[in-house]
Amino acid sequence: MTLTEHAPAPSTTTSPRFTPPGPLPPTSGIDMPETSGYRLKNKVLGPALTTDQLEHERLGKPTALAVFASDALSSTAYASEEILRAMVPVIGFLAFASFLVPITLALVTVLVILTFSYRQTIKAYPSAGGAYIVTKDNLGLLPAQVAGVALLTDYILTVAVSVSAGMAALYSAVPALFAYRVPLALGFIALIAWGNLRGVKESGRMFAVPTYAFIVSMFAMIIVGVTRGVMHGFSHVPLPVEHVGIGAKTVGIILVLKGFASGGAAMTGVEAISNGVPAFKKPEAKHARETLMVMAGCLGILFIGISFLAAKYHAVPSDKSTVISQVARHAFGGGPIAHGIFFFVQAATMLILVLAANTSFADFPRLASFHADDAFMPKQLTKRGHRLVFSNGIVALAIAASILVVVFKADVTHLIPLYAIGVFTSFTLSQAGMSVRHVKLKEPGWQLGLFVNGLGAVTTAVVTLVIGWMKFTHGAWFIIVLVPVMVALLVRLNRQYESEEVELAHDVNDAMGAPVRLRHSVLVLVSDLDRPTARAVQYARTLQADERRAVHAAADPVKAARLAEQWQELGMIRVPLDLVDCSDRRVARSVLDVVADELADERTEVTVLIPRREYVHWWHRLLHDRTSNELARAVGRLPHANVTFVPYHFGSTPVSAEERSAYHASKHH
Amino acid sequence: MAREDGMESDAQPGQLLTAERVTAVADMPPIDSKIVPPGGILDLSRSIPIADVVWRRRAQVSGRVRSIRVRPWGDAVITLEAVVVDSTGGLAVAFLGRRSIPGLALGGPLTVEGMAGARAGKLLILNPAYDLRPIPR
Repeated sequence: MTLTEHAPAPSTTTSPRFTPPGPLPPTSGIDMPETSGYRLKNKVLGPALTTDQLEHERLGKPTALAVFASDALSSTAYASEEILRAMVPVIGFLAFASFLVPITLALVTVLVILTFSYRQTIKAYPSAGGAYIVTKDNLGLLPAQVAGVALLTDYILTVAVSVSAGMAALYSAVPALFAYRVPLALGFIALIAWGNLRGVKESGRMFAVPTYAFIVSMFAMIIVGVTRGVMHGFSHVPLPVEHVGIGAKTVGIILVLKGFASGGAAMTGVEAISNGVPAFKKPEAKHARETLMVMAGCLGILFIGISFLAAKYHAVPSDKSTVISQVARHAFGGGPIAHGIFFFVQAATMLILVLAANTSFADFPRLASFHADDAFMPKQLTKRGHRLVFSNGIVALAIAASILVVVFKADVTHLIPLYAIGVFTSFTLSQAGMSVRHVKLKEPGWQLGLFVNGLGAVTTAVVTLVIGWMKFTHGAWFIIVLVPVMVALLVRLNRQYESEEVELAHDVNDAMGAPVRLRHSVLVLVSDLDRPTARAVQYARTLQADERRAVHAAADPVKAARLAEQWQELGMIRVPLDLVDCSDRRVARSVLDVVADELADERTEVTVLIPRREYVHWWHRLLHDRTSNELARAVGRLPHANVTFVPYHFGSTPVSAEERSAYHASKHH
Repeated sequence: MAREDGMESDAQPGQLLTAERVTAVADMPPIDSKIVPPGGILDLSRSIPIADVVWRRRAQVSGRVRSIRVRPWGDAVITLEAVVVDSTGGLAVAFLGRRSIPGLALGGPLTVEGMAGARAGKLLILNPAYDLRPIPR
C-alpha cells in the first residue's frame, strides 16, 4: 500500500442519515418561471441586454447624424415660413426682397457662432458636455438647474411641436385625417417611445432613412431650383387662393426682431450632439465634433437655400400649403415625374418632422438622469432599464409630451411661441460657463476659446432676450414662469434627498459598533393551525431566542378556544400559544400591544414572524385579504420590532385527489 | 436563553408596561359597586393602579385580562401566565402547576393580590390570590 493510493470510495450505505457531498447543481436548482409581465416585456422590447453590452450600444457617425440631427434639420421645414409669417402680413412683398435672406443670414451667423462654441464644449467635456454639466461645473448647481429645466421643457416641446407639425403635414395631404390628429399624434409619440425603449442604436436605425431622405431631397430641391432659376430666371409662385393678409406698412426694428425671433426656432437641436457625446463610438469627442460640423453645415445650407428660393419665388405662407411645399412644387416644375418627386419631398418632410421628436428622446432621458444623479430629480430616472436605456425618462417624456399634445389639440400655431426660449437660455448659460472655465483654467489657447464662447454667450443672451420680449404675450410668458417654478420644485426635492442622506449616513461607524440589545423575542403570528403556521413555527425554532411564542389575536373567542385546544393536543410546549384579547377586533392593534410589551424593557429585539401564503396565480391572491401586509406595516413602525415573512408556497405539498374529493364530500354531504 | 427557573430577582426588574400603549380598559362597561356579587376572597375596593406597584412589595391590582398562555417553567412545571392591564399599565401573573383557571377569560375582569416579583425584567406576581368578580368603579 502506497501513499498515493486512492482512498476507498465512501460508502453511501454506511448510515441512512449520511449523504455524500456533491457539487453544486448547474442551475439554481429551483424552478423559477419568469413572470408573464416579464415575458411580455421580452416580446415587446426584445431580450434584456446585459450591462457589459452598454459599451456596444454606441452610435457611428452616420447613425449619430440621423439620431441627433433630425431635430435641427427638421426646423428648416418651418423656420423660413415662421420668419415670413411674422413679416408678410405687415410689410408684404418687401419681406421677400429685402429681409428674408438677411434675417436668415443673421440666424446662420448665430448658428456658426454656436457651432464653434459647441466645438469648444465638446473638446472640454468629451465625456458628457451638455449645458447642464458645463453650467454645473463652472457656474454652480443652481444655474445648472435653470439650464437643465429650460432644456427639458424644450425637449418636451420639441416632441409636441414636431409631432403636431408632422400631423399638420399629414392632414394637409389627407384632409380626412384632421379629426384624428390628436390620437394619431399620440400614436406617433408612443411609437417613438417604443423605438427608444428598445435601445438607442435600434432607434437610430429606425430613423436613419427618413433623415437621410429629407437631407437628400432638400439638397436636390435647392440644386434643381437654383439651376433652373439661373437658366430660366426665377418666376413667382401663384398667390394662395384664400385671403392672406399682406400688409404694406413701414419697416421698424421691432418687426425685424420679430422675424428674427420667429426664425430662432431653427437653432433648436444644435445642442443635441454636445449633450449626447457619450453615445458616440470611441473616440467620442472627435466623432461628435465631426458630426456637429456636418450637421451645422447641412442646417446652414438648407436654411439659406430654402429662404433664398422662398424669397425668389415669393412663397406666401398660408394655412393650406406650407412655404416649403410651395418651394418644392415650384422648384421641380410640372410633369408627372416632378409631381412624384414633390410627393416624396413632402413625405420626407412629414417623416422628419415626426421623427425630430426622436432627438429629444435621445437627450431628455440622459439630461434627466444627470439631474437625478445630483439628487435634483427622482432617483428612478438614473436607472437603466431592460434595454440599457433610461426607460423611466423615456416614459416621462412621452407622457409629458402627450399631455401637451392633448391640451393644445396638436395645434402647432399655439405651441410654437413656447418654443426656442428654453434652448437659448441653456445656450447662454452653457456658453457663459465655458467662458468662466477658460478664464479659470487658462489652458493653452484659452484666449481664442474665451473669445469664441464669450461671443457665443453674448449672442445667445441677446437672442434669448429678443425671443422672450417678442413672443412674451404669445405664450413665452408661460415658459418664463414655468422654469423658475420648476427650479424651485427641484431645489425643494434636492433638500429632501439631502436631509434623508444626511440622516442615513449620520455616525455610521458608531451605529455599526453600538451595543446590541441582548434579549431576543420571537413572536409567531398565528391565525389558524395550518401548514403556513407550521412552517413559521418550525422556522421560529431555528432562531436563537430568549422568548419564543405563538401569538393569536382572539377576535373570535370560539375560534380562539378551539385553536388553544388544538395547540394543547399537539403538545406544542416549546412554542406556547399566547391568546391575546381582541374584543375590539382590531388585530393589528392587539399585536402591537404584545410587541410593545416585549420592547418595554428597552433591551429586547423583537422578531415578528408572519406566515404568508404565496399564490400560484395572481388572481388567487385577490380571493384573500392582505392582513399579513397590514400587520407587517403596523409592526414595522415600532423601533426594534423586525418583521420576517415566512412564505408558504401553494402547490408545495402533494395532496391526493382522493383527499380533496373526500373533503369536498364532507362539506357537501 | 430563556430563564425557565421560576422567580428570580433581576438586577433591573420592575419595568411596567407603560400606559399609553395599553388598550384602554375604559371601554368596559362601568359596573355599579352595589351589584358586585358578594363573597370572593378579596376586597375589590383596595386595588391600586398598576403603575403604583413596587417591586418586592405586596400589591393588589384589578384589570382586564389581556393575554393568556400556558407553558412549562423549567422542565416540568406547567404554568399559566396572564397579563392583566388597567388604564395605567400592565402586569404579568403566573399560576404554577395550572393549565387553566375556570372563569378566567380573555378580556374579562381579574383582581390579583400577592408579592410583586419579577421575571425576565418585568414585574410578575406569582401564584396570587385572585378574584374574578366584576370590578367596581
